Amino acid sequence: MSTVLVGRLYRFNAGHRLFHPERDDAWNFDVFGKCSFAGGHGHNYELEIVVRGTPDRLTGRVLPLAALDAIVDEHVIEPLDHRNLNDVLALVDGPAPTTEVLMLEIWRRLVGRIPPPVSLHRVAVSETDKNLFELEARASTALNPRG
Amino acid sequence: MDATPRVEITRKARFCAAHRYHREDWTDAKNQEVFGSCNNPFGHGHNYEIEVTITGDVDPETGMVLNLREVDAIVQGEIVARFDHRHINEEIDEFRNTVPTTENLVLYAWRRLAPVFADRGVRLCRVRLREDPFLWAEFRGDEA
Repeated sequence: MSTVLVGRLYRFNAGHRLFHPERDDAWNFDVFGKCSFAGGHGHNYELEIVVRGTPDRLTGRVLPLAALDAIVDEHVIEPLDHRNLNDVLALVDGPAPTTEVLMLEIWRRLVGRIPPPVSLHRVAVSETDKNLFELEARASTALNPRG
Repeated sequence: MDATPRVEITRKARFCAAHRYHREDWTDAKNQEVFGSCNNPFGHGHNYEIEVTITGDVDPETGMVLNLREVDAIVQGEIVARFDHRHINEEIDEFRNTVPTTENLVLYAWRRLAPVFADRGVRLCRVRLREDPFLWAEFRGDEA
């Protein structure tokens, strides 16, 4: 049977401040610019989640969209929407919630939760309509517990 | 070594169509449980967007992989003319007994488009079909 990718777009809003807590203001402004301003700021994030699998012979679906929505809502949207990302992210990939760090954490939160044989294929986050950050399964096997 | 750069080009087209998720061999209750509002009687509709990506050598005379006029004619003839302002379950034979999910529609589009582009000497490498801004399906061909 044919492997199909299914993509879904989600939105959430969150605040953040990009700064390294162990560096001084001058260093932070030099690296992060106005994103380092003390009060923080926020964005309307757009999140693309793409899964791969084979359409079910009877339903024609790779997976029930309600099931995907429930997973993404529980593990990403609910915990992040209208929150401060500096507070709610684990920040394991960097000192500040850049979109790269945010995206890697979203990947980790979802990758083991997509019910097999369906798998997570791609996560993409845009912070504003001028930037897009993408992570695809084949380039990130280290982050994929099923290899 | 082949020094000719391979370029992918993507063209978008739109059509509006109705569909309903329903299996005759299931009870009404099961249809409602599995398909939810997509099972409501008489169907509903979407403004679909199809993105067709092809790849091939850039023709040194025209600077093109394939004239977009030809790309448009193929997508129009194979897909848009068949689907636009139609009820997919009722009017496309392949979907009389197959649920017209976005996944099945993208596979159908691939089956129609791939051989036609192959005849023109270019390779279809991706079809992406959006039923709305929040849901899409994508097919890149059967991997060996």
